[in-house]
Amino acid sequence: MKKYLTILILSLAALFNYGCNQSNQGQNYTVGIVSLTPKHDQIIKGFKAGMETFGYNEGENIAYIYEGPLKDKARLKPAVKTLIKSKVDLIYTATTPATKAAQAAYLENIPVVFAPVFDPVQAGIVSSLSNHGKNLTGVQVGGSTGKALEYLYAIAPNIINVLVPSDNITPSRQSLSNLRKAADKLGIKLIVAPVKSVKELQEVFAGIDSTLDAIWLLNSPFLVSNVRLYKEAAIRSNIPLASGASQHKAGVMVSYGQKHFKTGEQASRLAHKILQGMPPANLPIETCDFFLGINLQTAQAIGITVSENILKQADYIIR
Amino acid sequence: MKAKNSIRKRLTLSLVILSVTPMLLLGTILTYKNYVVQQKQAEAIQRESSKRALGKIEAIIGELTSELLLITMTNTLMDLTYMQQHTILSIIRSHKTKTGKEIMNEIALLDITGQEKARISRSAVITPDDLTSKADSAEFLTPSTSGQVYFGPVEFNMETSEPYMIISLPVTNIGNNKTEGVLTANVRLKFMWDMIAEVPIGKSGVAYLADSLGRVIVHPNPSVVLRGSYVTVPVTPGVRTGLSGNKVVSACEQMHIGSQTLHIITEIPVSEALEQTYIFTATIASFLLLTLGGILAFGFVIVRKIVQPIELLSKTAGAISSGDLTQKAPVSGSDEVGILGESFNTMTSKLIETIESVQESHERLVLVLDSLDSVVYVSDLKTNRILFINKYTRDVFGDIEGQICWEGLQSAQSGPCEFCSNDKLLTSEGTPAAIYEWEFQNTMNNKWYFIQDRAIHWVDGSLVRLEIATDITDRKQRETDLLHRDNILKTIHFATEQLLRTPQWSDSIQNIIGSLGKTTDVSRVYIFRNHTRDYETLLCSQMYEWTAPGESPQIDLPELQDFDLKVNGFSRWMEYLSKGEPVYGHVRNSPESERTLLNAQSILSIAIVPIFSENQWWGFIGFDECRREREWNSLEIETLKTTADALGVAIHRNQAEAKIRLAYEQWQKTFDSIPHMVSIHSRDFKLMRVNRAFSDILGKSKDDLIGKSCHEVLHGKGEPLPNCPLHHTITTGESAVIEFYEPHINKWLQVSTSPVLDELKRVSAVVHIGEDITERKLAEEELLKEKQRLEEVTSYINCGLFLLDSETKVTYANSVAQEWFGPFDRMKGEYCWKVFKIENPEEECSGLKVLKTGKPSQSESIITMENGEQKVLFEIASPVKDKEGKIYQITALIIDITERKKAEEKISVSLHEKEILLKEIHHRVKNNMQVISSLLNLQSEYVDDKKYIDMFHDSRNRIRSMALVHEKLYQSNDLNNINFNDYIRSLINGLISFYGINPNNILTKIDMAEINLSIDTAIPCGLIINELLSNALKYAFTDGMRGVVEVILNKADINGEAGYELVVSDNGKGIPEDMDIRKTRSLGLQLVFNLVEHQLQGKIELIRKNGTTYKIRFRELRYSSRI
Repeated sequence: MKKYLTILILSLAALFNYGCNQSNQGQNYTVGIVSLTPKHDQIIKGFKAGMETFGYNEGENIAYIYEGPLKDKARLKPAVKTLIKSKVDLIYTATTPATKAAQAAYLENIPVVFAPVFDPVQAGIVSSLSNHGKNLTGVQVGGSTGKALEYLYAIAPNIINVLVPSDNITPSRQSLSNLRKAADKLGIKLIVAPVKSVKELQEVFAGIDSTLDAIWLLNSPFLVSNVRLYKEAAIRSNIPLASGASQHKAGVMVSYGQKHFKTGEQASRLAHKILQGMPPANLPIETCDFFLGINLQTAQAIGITVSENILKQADYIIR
Repeated sequence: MKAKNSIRKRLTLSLVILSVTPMLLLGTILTYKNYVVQQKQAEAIQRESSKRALGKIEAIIGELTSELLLITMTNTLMDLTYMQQHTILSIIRSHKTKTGKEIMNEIALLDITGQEKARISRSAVITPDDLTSKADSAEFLTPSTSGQVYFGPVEFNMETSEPYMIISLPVTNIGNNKTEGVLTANVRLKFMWDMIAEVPIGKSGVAYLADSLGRVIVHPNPSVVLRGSYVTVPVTPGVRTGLSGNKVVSACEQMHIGSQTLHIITEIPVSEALEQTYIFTATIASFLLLTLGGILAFGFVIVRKIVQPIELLSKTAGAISSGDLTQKAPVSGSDEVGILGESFNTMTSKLIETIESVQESHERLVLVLDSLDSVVYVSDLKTNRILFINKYTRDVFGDIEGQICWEGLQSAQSGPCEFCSNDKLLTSEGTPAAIYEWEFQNTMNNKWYFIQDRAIHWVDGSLVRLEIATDITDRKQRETDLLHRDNILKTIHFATEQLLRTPQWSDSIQNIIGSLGKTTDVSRVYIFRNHTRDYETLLCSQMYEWTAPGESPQIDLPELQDFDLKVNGFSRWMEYLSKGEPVYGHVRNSPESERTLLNAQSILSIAIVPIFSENQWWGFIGFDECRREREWNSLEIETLKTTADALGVAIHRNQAEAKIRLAYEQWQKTFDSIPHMVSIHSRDFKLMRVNRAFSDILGKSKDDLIGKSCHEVLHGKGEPLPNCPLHHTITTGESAVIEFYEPHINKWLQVSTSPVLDELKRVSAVVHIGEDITERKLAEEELLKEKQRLEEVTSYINCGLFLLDSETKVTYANSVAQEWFGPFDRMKGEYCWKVFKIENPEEECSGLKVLKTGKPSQSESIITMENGEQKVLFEIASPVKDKEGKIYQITALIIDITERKKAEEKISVSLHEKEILLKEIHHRVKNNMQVISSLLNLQSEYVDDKKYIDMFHDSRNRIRSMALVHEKLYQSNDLNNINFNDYIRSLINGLISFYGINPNNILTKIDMAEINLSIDTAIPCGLIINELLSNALKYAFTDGMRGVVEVILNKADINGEAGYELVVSDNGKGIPEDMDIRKTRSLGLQLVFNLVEHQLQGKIELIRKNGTTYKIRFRELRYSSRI
């Protein structure tokens, strides 16, 4: 009799304890990251920082599977496959090629968040930004190029000819397209110089003459990675350097566009909603915020004075 | 047999009801309460969340509106150039929220006609060609006409689906307050969208924004907005169906932007809102279930424990009731049921035992009756026929069963015995009465029996007599003995009491021995007392006697007075009695030496017991039995012993009382002989006893003083004095001593009180001794005055004065002493040598020397003072002795002789210097005299005449003799005296050498005591001896004669004073008889007479016999100061 009583009491206690403990359990997540270039490390940092603000602490309740910038487009799809096999809860892609490569994932019902993609509609990733209906969402970063040219024009209203080295990849083409529209409105002539390598870029810069009034840096990974050459050429030629990407720290005199870290943060918000159960199809693709950056060092080196009115509008000023 | 209403069922049912009902009630109430509370809390939380979100949105919108308003108030905005306007609008457009979010997509400035003057876009490049007219738009019309800020509806960007709102404000000329244009801003509401989406509403709750129509315009799930969802705006917080179709707890807050009303709605699923309630309910339910299960299980066990034993017990009782006494209740335990079971089993066992014992009893009864040593019989009350007898009865009276009782049990009885007790055995109703007990001496065997009769019902129901008769013959005999003993003890008690009560035992002894005699039924009782003859021979004399009627008294027989036991053959008696042992027995068995006297007194048996007082054999007491020989039993001997002991105590008591009386008289004499006032007081200060001195000093008789209070008679006061020592002793139990002057009797008294304690250590009385110390006080005052005078004197002469006790401890020090050695308090009671810091007190301390020798002592020592100064102190210690010559005090006078010592030092130094100087003078004088002598010697060489040469030589010798004195003085340590013995030898040797005397021919003898003479005496003596010796050496021995010259100098008594006798003699020719030496022309002799008679004031005698002898007697010249 005593034995049965003891068993009964212990059983009820265990049940009670189980019930109490049920509510206390949390969930762990795994996020795979696919990036092409080291240039996007700041975006990934911004993404992780943003995730932390939403309570995802790496090593505690979230794990990131990231091999580092792949640097080769051919490695994108295998990387995505690996992540699919790892049964990650979400894949984050940086750049249009990485996002395209992740198509297999969202077809496997693994949601994808991308940032940055210059123009996902033009890139064919989605048909529209809002009702895309796909298992992915993200942040597009295009749309600032024209405004950037306007800021250049406001600083140097006498410019007519602007040198635009282009590697003819998608983001460069998209960026160039927007640039042409703005240039037409402003009466600026774009001198597009195709380049495929650093050597060609250097040759382009070596051929700068007095007919050129400015240099433009397109939103291309290759071109952006050589911003140092741009800056040197601009200083050497005493002509302004501008970009639709936020490269003021790298020496671009005037840049207006996305800030990688902030873009990453913006993407983390989307990722958070998805991990909390929101279907990505319900999340419109967002546009990033644009930031005006002025590098006065470069301006001084070039010999250009940036007016206070412009500086008042600047989000970042390198003095 | 099964119980209809079993305990098990009732208990079980009660347990279930009592445990389940309160549990359920409690659980239900707690759960409901918690549900209500949680719901209310959830609603409140939702309201708060809504308000928070609302606050944020309003803040941002308000801030933006305010900033735009500021811009519109810029006076010259409309007058600026395009580029200027463009620049300003760019700056405005670039404004971001605090979190860095771009607020405006576009901003445009319209003129008063609605034409865009300038427009800036976030992303697009807008040129003047892109400017349009907005004249018909509400965003222009409202602010331009009403001057109010226009808030447009929330719209969505077609491409990005981002919400936005048009806010337009009138541009007013501050000067004339006229609207000159409109500023429109396309405000991005995405921040609001994000903000609301990020408002935490629990785990799965949402907050969203709806317009006044209920259209959802902002939602964490953008698809909700994009699909154009509508919601019924809740008026009050509560539970309803939410946007998702689930039950939610929702709250709503309104926000007004311009004319628009927006609603912020917060929803949280009921399951989440009331999660705590569910958990609480689950917890309570689990707990209740657990507790219930426990209670039920425990109850089941308890019920089983209680009921099962009762059932078993019931079953066993049934078996026993049907006759099976072997059944046992299988119940055990320490509870009541266990005890009941055990008791039941015990009861069964006892029942079995009882039945068995009844059977056994019957057998035993018969056995018992037969084994009794009492007569037990049963006889018919009516017929008196004996129906039953026991074995004892049979043995004693024979087989009398069936006989009539008086025939079988009594002798010579033909009918009922007159003492028959049958009539006492029944009550008046004829029922058996109580047991009748009586004692009876049977006529058949003359034995005494203790009889217990009672009437009982016999086996046939008839009333019979049951008699149990116990043989008490021995007891009866013992009773008789006890009675006899009792009488004797009473007699002893009487004797003892009489001896203790009667002040003199001799007053009651006659009655005592009379009572003894009567009680013991003896012929005589008597007392003999011991005494001695010549302090050696022990005799005894009869002092008291009682005789029984008819017996002849013996007390008057002279032979029984001064009876010498030893001489008269009763040594045995002496031996036994002196050891404290009795002598008793038949006279015929006594030694022959005793029988003669005893037979003469017709004594057949005798018992003698010694009487001792203070361990001394005082005498003896005895019984004589003359009528028959009698065996003295122990009681009688003990009686005698006890009486003897009591008599001994009484004698001792009388003796002690006499001693006490004597002691008291002596004490009283001593008490009265004490010269001090001695009294004994009660606790209430009354005088209980006073001595003669007390009454004499007060001048009253003892009777007048006894019973009065001491403060009345001593102090003339009605109550004790404040410092009354008697009061102190009474209250504290401690002795006290005080000195005081009592004006009532004009005396100084030293009163000491001592408590008298009872056996409980309480103060029962106080001994009060008052000593007249008037003389002592006066003496003390005198002494004090003397001390003060002495203090003054010693202070005046700067002497330290110490008074030491008989152990050389300081009892007094005057001010000078204290100044030198420190305050009196420090040195009081200390040894003097410690105060003086003497390292070797045995050698140096005058006080100790005084103690040792009993004579004054002086010492001089260097002492370090209190202030560190060193002084030379001269101490004079003198003993003060009492009448027996014992030293009780030492006075030590300390004189500071430091200065004197210093002066002495100086004098000594000066003296030493003078001594040296004097020596030098003597030396120089000697040298000068030697020079003179040498000059004379030289001069003599220039003279041819022998006469003149001799004159020179004589002068020279004279000078030499004087110079010799100075030489001796120079050589001597004593500059005042010279060793004359040594001087004379030197002088004589010098003369002998000068005159060239052959020692073989003339012998010089010197007989001189060790004499030191001063210079004033030594020089004339030297001159005298020089002259007389020179004459002797020159003239006494001529022509080669041999002879002796002698000089003798000794001390002599000159007319009672100390002096000297000088004899210079020779055995030469001698001086002619006819020569008168007083008239001689010899210078030398004239010099001698002159020196003797005038300078030495002595006498000279010439003796011409056997040569020449000059005897000169003189006193030493005393030096007198010439300064």
